[in-house]
Amino acid sequence: MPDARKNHDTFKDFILTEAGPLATSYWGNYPKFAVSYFKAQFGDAGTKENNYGYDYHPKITGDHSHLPMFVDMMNGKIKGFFVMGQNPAVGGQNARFQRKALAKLDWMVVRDYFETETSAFWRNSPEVTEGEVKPSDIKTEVFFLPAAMVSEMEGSFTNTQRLLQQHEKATDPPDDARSDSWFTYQLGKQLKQMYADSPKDHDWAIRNLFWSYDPEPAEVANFRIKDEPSAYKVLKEINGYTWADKKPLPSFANLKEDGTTVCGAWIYTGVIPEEGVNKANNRQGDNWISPNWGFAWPANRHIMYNRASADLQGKPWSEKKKLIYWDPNAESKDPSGKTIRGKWVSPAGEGIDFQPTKAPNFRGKDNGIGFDWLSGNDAFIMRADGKAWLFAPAGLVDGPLPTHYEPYESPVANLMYKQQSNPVAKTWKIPGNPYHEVADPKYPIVVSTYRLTEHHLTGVMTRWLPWLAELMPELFCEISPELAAEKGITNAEYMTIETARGKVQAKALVTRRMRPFLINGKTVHEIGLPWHWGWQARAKGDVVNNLSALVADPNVSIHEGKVFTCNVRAGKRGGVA
Amino acid sequence: MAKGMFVDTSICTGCKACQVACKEWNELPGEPSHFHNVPDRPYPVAFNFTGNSYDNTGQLSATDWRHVRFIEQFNESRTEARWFFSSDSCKHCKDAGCLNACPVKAIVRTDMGNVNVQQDVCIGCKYCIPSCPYGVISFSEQTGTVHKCTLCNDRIHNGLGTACAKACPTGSISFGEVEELKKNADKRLAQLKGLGFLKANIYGYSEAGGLNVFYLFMDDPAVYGQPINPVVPQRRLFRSAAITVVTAIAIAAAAIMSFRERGMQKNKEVKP
Amino acid sequence: MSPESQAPQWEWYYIAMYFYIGGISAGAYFIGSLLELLKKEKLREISRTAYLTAFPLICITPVLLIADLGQPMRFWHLFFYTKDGMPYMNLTSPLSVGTWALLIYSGMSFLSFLNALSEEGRLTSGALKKFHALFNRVPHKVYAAAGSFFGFFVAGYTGVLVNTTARPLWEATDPLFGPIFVASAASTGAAATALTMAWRKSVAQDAFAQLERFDRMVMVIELALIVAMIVVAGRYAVPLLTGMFGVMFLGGTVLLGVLVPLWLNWRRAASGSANDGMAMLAAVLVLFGGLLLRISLVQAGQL
Repeated sequence: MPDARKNHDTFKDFILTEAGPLATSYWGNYPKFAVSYFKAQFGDAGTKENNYGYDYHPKITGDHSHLPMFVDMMNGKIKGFFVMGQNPAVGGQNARFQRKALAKLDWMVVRDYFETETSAFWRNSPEVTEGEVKPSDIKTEVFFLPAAMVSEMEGSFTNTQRLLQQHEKATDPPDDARSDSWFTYQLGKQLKQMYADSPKDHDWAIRNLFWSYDPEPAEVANFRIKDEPSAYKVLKEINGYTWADKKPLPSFANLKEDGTTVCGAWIYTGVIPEEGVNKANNRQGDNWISPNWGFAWPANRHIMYNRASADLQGKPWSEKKKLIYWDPNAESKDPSGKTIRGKWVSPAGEGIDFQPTKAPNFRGKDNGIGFDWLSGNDAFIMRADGKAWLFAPAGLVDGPLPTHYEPYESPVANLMYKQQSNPVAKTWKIPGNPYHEVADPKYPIVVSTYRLTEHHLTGVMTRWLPWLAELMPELFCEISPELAAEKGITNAEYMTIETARGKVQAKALVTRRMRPFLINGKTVHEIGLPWHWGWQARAKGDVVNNLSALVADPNVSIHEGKVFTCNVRAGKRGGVA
Repeated sequence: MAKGMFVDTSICTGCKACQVACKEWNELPGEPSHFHNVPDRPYPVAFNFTGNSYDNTGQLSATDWRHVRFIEQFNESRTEARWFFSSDSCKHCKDAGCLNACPVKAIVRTDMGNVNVQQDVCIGCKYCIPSCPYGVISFSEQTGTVHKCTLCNDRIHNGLGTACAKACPTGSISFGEVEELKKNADKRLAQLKGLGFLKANIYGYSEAGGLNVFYLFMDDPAVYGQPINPVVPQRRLFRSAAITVVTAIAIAAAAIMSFRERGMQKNKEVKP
Repeated sequence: MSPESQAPQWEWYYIAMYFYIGGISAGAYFIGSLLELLKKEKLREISRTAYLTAFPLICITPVLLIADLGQPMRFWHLFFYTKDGMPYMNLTSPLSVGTWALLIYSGMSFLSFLNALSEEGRLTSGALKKFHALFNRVPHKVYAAAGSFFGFFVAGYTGVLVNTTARPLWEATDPLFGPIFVASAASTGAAATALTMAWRKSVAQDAFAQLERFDRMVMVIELALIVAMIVVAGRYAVPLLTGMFGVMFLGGTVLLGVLVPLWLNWRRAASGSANDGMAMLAAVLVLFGGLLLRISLVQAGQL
């Protein structure tokens, strides 16, 4: 992604920064991927002269992760917000802060199946119902659009095993509910229409965005919604094809840097190797690699770096588990048609994640570019040196070796290590986000947040269903009998949990599954809070995230919400039991 | 041959997929007594938190045909820590108290041995309800009839197994021929005993004439809320009738004694 | 014991009330038939009054039973199996057998009612006279024997019905509800008959005294059965001996419904006085106690 914080000023800078002048490893092919990507964005409007539209493509300008984004929102820097299948009013850390931030937007579009807490925040959030904020003071214009459900959408789904599997639509969405694809496609069409006559440079991208995914009649023959965009066409663009004849590319090796190919994401090339064939549809499993089940990016290599499954001579480390091995006698043809002997073979049909004809004893060329630099034993072809790394000396802001850090809020000092907590954790010392001191006597109890089987995330997909609502109807707090006795808290009656950020009430579940700890001679108590509840839906309860603070991981800004400190007492939030 | 289910509670994880699968297949609504109307909502809201571990279902009802129980056994020092889970449902008894009690033949046994309520026959007299030693069959205000697990009667008569067994992710609930299931159960019991779980026991081989849906428990059945040595109520019918007849005879004798001439005369004498 | 068994949620004003009213009717009918078997002219008046009391009471009962059903319009399923239209009875179900017995009993008590009216010269309707003619076809002794059987059956089957369940109180008190209900039916039946006689200004003082004597014996039997029931039930009797039902049962039934009438009754017999007021009071208390007996036994088992 073009990033304004890096040396990405021009297209040339971009290529040089990302791939380097003498890029070793597969990143030597970077220019082909980049050009094909921008060509996919702008089609005919992208030419060699205008660097395929690079200058008009948006650039990342900062940390746009969730928490920093909400801080920007609170500071009035964000005008509009699309919320699709997300519920930050409940799921966001320091939820009261996040709900107040939502009130600073000019407009917000929420797409979901039910009126989520985020979409309803302006009229019945606790801040409104308890008189802290008036709806008339919230200027945010909220548009709520009904969304189609998973089973009502056609397309492919990629899981964390890198496997693409086609997901067939089981039924049509009802009434006005539409898929995210339909919404995004229609929105793009409308924006293109609006900006069609704009002479401004910064509208060039929208004007020239290649945006043509109307379905073929056969694709929507069984659909109620006849203008559902073609998931096939979208996937084909991601896969890549030659621009002139629109023929799909079977491999990323076919990508060119001369603008004749387009490709949304080179790692997916091969999922549609020819017109009409979508490997995500494959469903032939075996009890081993199952290469004919779905499509694993890249190039249907189900096990990455599988060269490493064979030893330095190319023989499998384990005969029972052999994946690929070097067959010195196997024949193949080189690009000029000449027969060459020796290639890697996979009896299981697995994609070879290596140069197919590079022998195990090949010595990398000292001045080699790309693959030529890597030897026949450098299995980790995406790494500059082709080797596996036990730790990352570059690219992460902390590390390299793990150690024990206490969470940002802790009732105890770090007894194992002189550094209390991660020194580069992202924190925001801003109004509305007060932190507790380490071993703060006002908040001596550990709160651990977790999940239940019966509910999913903020409960948008579960708390509205009677069958699930009745399994876990309201927010409860798990507390040890020892702590309950100390605070006069009774099982199945209300208790209140409090931090500097907010208060929630929950039904107490007194159980010996929670236990007090003896740490450095002191008793430390812990309570457990499943965090699925919000004020909407058939199973409702206070928002646990009202208690947490904005703390984020130093590398990718993931929130730290698992544990922090708090205090508890018997009775309801307002003081009445 | 009778079909049934073996519930191996030793591998149950308490996920409640069985409860939800049952609701889904049988198109059952949320249990009405668990929801109430609140002023600012157009939909009823659940309020059935019990504080009893993770079990908010409480008991079987006309709309809850499966009920997962949660039993925590933790001592104060936490050196003993056990959390038992057990998915309760109709046992489809070989000698069924509900079937025996029904006066209209609404409750019948099919060719596969499962016990079903014919919804178009039931008159809602509710006599089957206290006749079940396990408290399974329940009344619905909405339909005016009683309901319980059908052993997925429609599924099993079309080559499928029960919905709960299908949904169970660990294989804790398995469906099949009862005699085959017993073999698996015996093997599993032997294995557990061999591993030192001496309190493990099978519940349902002889209870109430034999249960087509039987259990492997890790502790005493009472821990799981099941009656020990339950007697199908109708087995007591003869004795009850006999004693009543004896009483009637005694009262007849009292009548005869009271209304004899001698009694009358005695009264006559006493009158002033 | 089955801690898990569920309560049938029978309303007291339907089912317990049916047990009570059905019990009075059947008890009275039982007495009436027995006396007819003894064939004493002097007892005819008691017998007739018993029949005149029994039938109107049993007319109320189908309404109560049908109203309690979840599907009242389907009550006829008790007699015919819907799938094949054939008459149906389930021998393992006291409810099924009892319903048929109730049906037969109702028919018999109707004809006995007609016969009683006829004996008093009050049967005027032509159609009803035809029914009565039917009645005369059967030898009266046979009819009376059958009548006493069905009377006892209707009086006692409801207790057997309640005991043949898994509710802790009901299972623990098995097999004593049937006997207690029969005894209570006889006692309340006698009391109702006595009150009817008084209301009709009957002059058969002897008959009255005999009824009292009978009631006395039955109450002793009833008391013995109640004691046996509590002993047999042990700790499961607690719902019956504490709280609201404890007051109803111990205070209402045992004290006011049995012990006090027994004492009043015994005093009257001993002193030989003709204090009709006290006799009426005793009868009313017996009836009161009988109602509370049914309510407490049936409702305490549903706690």
